[in-house]
Amino acid sequence: MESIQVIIIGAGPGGTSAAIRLAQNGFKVALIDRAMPVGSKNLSGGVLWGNDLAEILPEWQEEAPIERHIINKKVGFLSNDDSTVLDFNFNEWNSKPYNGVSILRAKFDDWLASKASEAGVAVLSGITIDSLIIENDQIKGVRQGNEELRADIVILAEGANPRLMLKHGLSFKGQKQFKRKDMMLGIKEVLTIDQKLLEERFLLEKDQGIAGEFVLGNIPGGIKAGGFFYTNKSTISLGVVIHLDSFPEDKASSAQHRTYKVQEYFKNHPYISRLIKDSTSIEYGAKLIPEMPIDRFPNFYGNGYLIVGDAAGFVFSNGIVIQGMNYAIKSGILAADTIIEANGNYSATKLAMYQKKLSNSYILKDFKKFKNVKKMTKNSKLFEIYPKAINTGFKEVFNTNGKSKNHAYKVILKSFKNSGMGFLSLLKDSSKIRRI
Amino acid sequence: MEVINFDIKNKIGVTSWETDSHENAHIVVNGNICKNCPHHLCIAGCPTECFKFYENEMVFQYEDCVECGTCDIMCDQGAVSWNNPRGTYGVKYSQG
Repeated sequence: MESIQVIIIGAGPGGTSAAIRLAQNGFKVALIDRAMPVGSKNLSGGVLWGNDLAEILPEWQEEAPIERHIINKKVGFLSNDDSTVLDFNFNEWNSKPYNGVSILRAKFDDWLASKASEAGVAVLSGITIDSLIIENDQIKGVRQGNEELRADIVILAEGANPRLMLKHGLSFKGQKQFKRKDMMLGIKEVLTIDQKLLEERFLLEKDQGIAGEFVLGNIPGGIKAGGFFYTNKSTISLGVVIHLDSFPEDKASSAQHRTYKVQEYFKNHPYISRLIKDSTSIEYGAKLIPEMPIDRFPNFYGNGYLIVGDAAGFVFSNGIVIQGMNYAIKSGILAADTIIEANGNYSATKLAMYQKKLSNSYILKDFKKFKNVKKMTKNSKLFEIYPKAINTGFKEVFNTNGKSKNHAYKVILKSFKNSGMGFLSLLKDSSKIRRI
Repeated sequence: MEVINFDIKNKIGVTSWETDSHENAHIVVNGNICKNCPHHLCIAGCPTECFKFYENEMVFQYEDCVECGTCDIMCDQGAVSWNNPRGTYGVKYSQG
């Protein structure tokens, strides 16, 4: 292990993309992950959007273990028994480069790490780093037990639960713990289903897939959550995303409410239960999802280090879209480019160009442009009132019950009014929806 | 609805672990603090029900932990000490 120039902690898409870019430019890189094999501790919803990987692996869509390419997106509002689901079909999404592909991370991340090995990266799996070596306010390497590994610079790609960052005070304002309002919990199951049945049920031809995302208005206790399902080859990734700050802070509530029950309420909704009929759960997992606003992001760089991906807070969510892996890959590539251009000077002053690169890319542009969207995704009306009002409204439009028909817009407005929303607050919210 | 009495322990059997010994548990909970906790949000938050409050004692077991980190965030009383498991130990996804 002589003369390692860059240590990268975490072999998710962010860390591994940085490793590949650096190795392609002649750097000696060690990519360290606590899982054995690489990928076996990595979890995500399951759609990789965009084509950022093409910057380092132009043929990735031919070679990677892709489950299906997404041609159909559904956005739905679920209330207790009813649902209104918008169904978007874009023919363009059927041709390469695909706009989005479903993946399973244990396979995908292992494949990506194998591409890093091929490029000359030393991939060290099954190693948990205990601490960072910090000398004269500069990060110099990592420690595990009595062993040290030194390098010129360290990339922190630890993911959503970044223990080293928290331990060494590299999180926002040196906090040792995240705030509940800044994190969501994602829970996911992988359900196995006969491939032919899946394709017939979801109207899919070979290799085509669906991404469905839902506002959940059927969760008791005021718990705010969204649901999703993505089709894989012969499995379905199905899960929920839960706002951790929506659990009431009292024992009576904690005796009753559970994050894992949110997943059951989602699965038991009639719209969803019909879709997953005759499937069997083969894996259950969970991960945190950063949701901090841009003014509570950590510093992305400092003396001898850069932060990428979930560890930096780079997950975009606006209620109908939630994306992290593309931001991880892009930030990993930009971190690598920063190191390449820094020319051996890894002081914070020099590494400040990483911030500039992030600002000039879609990453920080997206987060800045959508910074007010949190007000909408945290709005309890989005969960408690909208799904019910939308479903009741449309039901009345479509119901044929011997009564004279009314104009659709009047019926739906009335439904909102009956659910306790005045016209003014509807107008106020619609100006927020504009931000999505 | 059947969700109310749903038992998560029946479900997580499909997930795999490489379980480390007790003295190497990656999460340690100081149960004395939990006795005075006003909310016990760890119990509500944990997706695999590793926390249970039973006969005025917080009972914690690390074996079913999927290492998400939720308990560390839910606990604002300082009772949860959270570390990554030793290399190769802990949850092992085959799908992810």
